[in-house]
Amino acid sequence: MRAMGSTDPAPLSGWFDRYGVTLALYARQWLNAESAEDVVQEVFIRLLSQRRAPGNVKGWLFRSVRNAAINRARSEHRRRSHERRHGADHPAWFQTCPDDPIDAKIADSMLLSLPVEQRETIVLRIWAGMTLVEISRVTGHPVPTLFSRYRAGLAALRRAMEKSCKT
Amino acid sequence: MQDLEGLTPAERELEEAWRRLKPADVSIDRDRLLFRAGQRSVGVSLWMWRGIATVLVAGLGLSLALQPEPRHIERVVYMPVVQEKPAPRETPVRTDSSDIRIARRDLSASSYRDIRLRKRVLEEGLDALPMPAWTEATVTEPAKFLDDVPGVPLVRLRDADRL
Repeated sequence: MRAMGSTDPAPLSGWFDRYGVTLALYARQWLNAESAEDVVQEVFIRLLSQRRAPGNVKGWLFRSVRNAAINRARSEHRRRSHERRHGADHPAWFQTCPDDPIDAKIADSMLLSLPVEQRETIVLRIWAGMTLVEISRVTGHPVPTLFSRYRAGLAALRRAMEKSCKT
Repeated sequence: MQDLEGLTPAERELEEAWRRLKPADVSIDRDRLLFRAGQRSVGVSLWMWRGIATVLVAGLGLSLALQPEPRHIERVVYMPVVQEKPAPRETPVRTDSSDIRIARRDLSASSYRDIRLRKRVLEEGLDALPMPAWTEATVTEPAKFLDDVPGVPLVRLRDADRL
């Protein structure tokens, strides 16, 4: 743990620029866009309220967002199912870019088709740039389990992509 | 990436393809977030100091309320007795008759006359007063008048007249 100037927002600003978008994407594995952003905000505010900054800020941020998102998803379960029934519009998870080999509009639906454990591992690995050891610290799952989940997730995505290409 | 050595080239290619996707921007206002974070931080420290102050005041009040009464400790102290010497007796002052005589000599003859006259007036009334000078001859010899006063030797009065 190292001391953090609670009145100095410069580190917080840097962390937000670096991890804010990915944290929101991570939170969306359990929540809709609005709730995910709320959770990310709350976590950043909580980070500044800490008397001492965590030694591994990145790990602390993702672990806090994970815990907060899962808790909030449990409390919002009824509301979420209500939104699904009424076909609530969910913003895309990714930016649309014509050069991307994968269509951003169907990427989130492909990810959503995965089990949450595989999806979570893929998001942390690909977009948060974490190693499996770091992912293990965030999720609390052993590295071999994460590795097998990651491979299984990639295989499922490949199948989904092949299926979408055929159609 | 050293922990993913078991991935096949096809899996790595797929991984890279997905990595090109950029997460959608969030609508979080960064400045607003920093403001809220700072506000919360100040609020927390303010509440912390308020809590500390409250605890201190409560502790002070409790300590004052539960303060035990001061204990009276009795202790016997032995001190050496100092023998006081008796004060020397004062010898009475003896006055000689000559001193009295000197005092009487200090009085003038007219003073003696007045004293005796006053005494006679007190004892016999106003009839004892001498007649005024315009009705009678002036009394020239006070010794004659003073002879009747008991306890005053004539000789002495005459001596006083001379003074």
